[in-house]
Amino acid sequence: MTIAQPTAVSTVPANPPTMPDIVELRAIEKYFGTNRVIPSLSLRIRQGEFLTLLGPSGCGKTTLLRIIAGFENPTHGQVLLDGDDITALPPFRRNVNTVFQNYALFPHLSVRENVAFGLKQKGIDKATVAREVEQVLAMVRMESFVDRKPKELSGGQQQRIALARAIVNRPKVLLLDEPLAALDLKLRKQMQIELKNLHQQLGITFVFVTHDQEEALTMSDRIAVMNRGVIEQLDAPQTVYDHPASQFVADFIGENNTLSGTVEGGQFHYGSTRIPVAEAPKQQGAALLFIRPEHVIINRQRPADAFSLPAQVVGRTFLGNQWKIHCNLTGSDTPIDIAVKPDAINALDGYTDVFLNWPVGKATLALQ
Amino acid sequence: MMYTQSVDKDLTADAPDRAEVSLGKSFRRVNGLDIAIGGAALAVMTFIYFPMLVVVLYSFNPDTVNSFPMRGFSTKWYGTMLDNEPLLHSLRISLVIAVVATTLALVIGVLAALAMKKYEFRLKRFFERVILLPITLPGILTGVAMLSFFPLIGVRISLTAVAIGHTTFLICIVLTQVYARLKRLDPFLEEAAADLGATPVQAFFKVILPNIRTAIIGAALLSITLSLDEIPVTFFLIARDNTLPIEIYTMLRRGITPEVNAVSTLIFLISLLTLVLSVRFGERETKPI
Amino acid sequence: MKRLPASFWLLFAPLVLWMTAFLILPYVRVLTQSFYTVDDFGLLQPGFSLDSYSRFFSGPLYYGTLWKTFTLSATVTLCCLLLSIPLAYYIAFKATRNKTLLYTLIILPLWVSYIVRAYAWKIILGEEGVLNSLLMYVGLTDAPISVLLYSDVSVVICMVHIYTPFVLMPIYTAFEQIPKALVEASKDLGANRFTTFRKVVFPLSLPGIIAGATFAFVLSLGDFLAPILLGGPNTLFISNIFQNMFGTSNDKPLGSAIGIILLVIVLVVLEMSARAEKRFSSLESGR
Repeated sequence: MTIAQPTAVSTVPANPPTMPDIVELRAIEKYFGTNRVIPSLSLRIRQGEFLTLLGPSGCGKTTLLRIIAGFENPTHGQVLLDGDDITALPPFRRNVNTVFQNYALFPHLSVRENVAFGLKQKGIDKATVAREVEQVLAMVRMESFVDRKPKELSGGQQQRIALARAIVNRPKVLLLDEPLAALDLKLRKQMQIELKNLHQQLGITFVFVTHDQEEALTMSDRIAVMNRGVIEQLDAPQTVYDHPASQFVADFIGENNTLSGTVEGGQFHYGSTRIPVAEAPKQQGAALLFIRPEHVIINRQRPADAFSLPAQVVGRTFLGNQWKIHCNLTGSDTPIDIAVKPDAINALDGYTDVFLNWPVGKATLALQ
Repeated sequence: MMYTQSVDKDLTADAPDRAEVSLGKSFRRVNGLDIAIGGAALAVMTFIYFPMLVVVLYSFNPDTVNSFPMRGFSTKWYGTMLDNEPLLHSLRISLVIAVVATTLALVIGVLAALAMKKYEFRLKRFFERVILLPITLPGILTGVAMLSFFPLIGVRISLTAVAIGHTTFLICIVLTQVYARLKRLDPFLEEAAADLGATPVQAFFKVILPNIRTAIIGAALLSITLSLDEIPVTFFLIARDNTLPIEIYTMLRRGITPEVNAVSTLIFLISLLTLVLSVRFGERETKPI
Repeated sequence: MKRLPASFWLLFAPLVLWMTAFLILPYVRVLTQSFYTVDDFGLLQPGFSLDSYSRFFSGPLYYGTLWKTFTLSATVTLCCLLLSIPLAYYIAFKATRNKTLLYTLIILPLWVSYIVRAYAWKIILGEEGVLNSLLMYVGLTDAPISVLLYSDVSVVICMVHIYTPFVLMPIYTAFEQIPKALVEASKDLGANRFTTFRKVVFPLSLPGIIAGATFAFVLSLGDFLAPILLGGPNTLFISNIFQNMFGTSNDKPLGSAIGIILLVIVLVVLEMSARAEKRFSSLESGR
């Protein structure tokens, strides 16, 4: 897998934190039978933002989305939409719309009828419905397919219709449940860009569920990384990548090396090595240090002016745009991976005993 | 079980496999084994269809005796049939019972299928098997059981009892067919409808029903056919008025009357028509247009 | 276990009520009635007596007929299998064109009235029937063969004819579900077609064959019409005795006991077959 470089259009959230919250989840708790899938979760989603719920399967992200949509009722807690408590409202009375994972297009209805479904439910007059449907189909560039049935469309086309069917209702929040998972890689990339553009055009709040970290980094204003029903970190993509808040986040997004040590006197102690960190913590105690493979520097000689960790090179793997050097730290055998540009690999031939370090600001400290 | 399979068109939708078969065939030379299998297949087909062909053919026999060779061609037995008032009366009774029983079975069966699709309950797997029993158990047992019990709850042995008896096993036909279709339906369609503002009732009529419509029509056709043909249960629950197959049965017990050939031919043609209709309905949904 | 909501019961209650009133309770009635007795006037006397069951197992007429029913049903089943396997094999593996048509042709008889098909054999096998007059016409016999109709043979022929489609269907389905690659792999590994059938096709389609055989056997066990219409004076199935007990013989307790015995046999056969199907199924099935 290629390493995920943060490629988000902007690292600054599109909407400053002063924007009002469109959705507020208060102490949501969800049980399936005796199985607690969400322990107690609170989340504020800002008006107009693109928020991604990211996590492995079974982390509760889809359940959370379904609670907002109204398909699941939380065992405890409240759901607020634009300030109103909608916890008890059935899905058909909520002003939110969903793009389903497998699109759930109505097979017996044409593209036009599918898209018009929600508007007709609201009792809007025919002429308006026709106009709105036409507009939204133009927006997703599907205007020439109005009379087709869903099964006569390709996956990507079905995807656009599912999108059109939801946004034509101008929901306060658009919920997207892994909508790109069924598409092949190339189409997925293209749809990511289109979705992002659509988001900017419409100004509707998007809540997007995915297990694909790259997708999350590419599209989101903010990412909520979920694990076992808990949001481990909620931040802008760049922050999540550069400063993971926990071991889970560090490992789940991109690739990561972890050192386990202690914090004393504002420094991270790994064995006898003292490693300086950017923001010196006041606390003492056990801690983890996360460092991305592309930030680790290999030195042949022990650097005189900085810290370093002695290690042995045990192997290398070619990945196309980079080489991965596999090392074990001397003494502890902790594995460390280092990403190296292909043109720099020859300089490393014959290295076995090396010294590793990194720029101080690139490592992230997590107290335990 | 058997009836569910009989209209499950999945079996015939095998276009991809067919290409492989014909590919294999081009490498094969015709030999004795192939001829033997082909011959056996043809013989079995003949065995299955020969009796029905005989009936159709001899319905045009001018003679009273069904002997070979036929001495001429005549439609007089069709005329005799049309003059047979008890026979026509029994046909009308059969049609009424088939329609009543099928309607009741559709209502009860479709509702129950929806319940089984929508909700999880503990005995569901067990129930999926048990519900097949009324069509798997010998009809004679069910008939006698109903005969022994119905009078105790005030259902007299009558056409009402027959209609109730038919409904009971037709429910299972409808339930299994519609449930099978519901299980194949995209589970998120209902949620998508709700998401777009449809109440559960609206979602059923606008989204679920149109998508199970062909299964319901298929089940209805099958139910009507089965009801029109049913003997074992009817046999025990009938009082004065006979249904069509029971009327034919009594005619047969009295001796061979050639007009039965004519009736049978008509029944055969009607069965053929219903099957063709049900295949049509079955194919429309599996074949991409 | 969470409680089911009211909407579930709204949908499901009609089924439960209907089946309880018109199916389960009737069968319960047969069970209780089998423990009753009849007095000298032929009236039912409620009670708990095993009299009917002991009469069944001490009367050779009853258990003898049960045994005969078994053997005849087994014969029917075997014939159905022998007819079904080659035809199913042909349609599944040999027919390249008109496969849908052929399949429709084998399920069509299921839609044709039982009475019509039984009647057809009556006019074919009768003394002045189509077959005899044909044989005499071509000069194979001088006098009509009378054993054709009103004998065990005619009953078996008719039942085989009526139940073969029930056997064909699951066997054909089983053949169809065998990936063609497996058959090719077998040939690729040097097996000839007979060995391929014996070692690959047959074992993989065993669940379908068992299902088909079960249909034929259970349906024959409960058939009382073919013996009435086509059987001779000695062609008696257990279901005919059963039926008589509620008619001319008017011995409802004994009849009920026979019914319960028949029910238990059928249920045992169905359960055994379900287990066998499960045990022998090596292909991932769709359901």
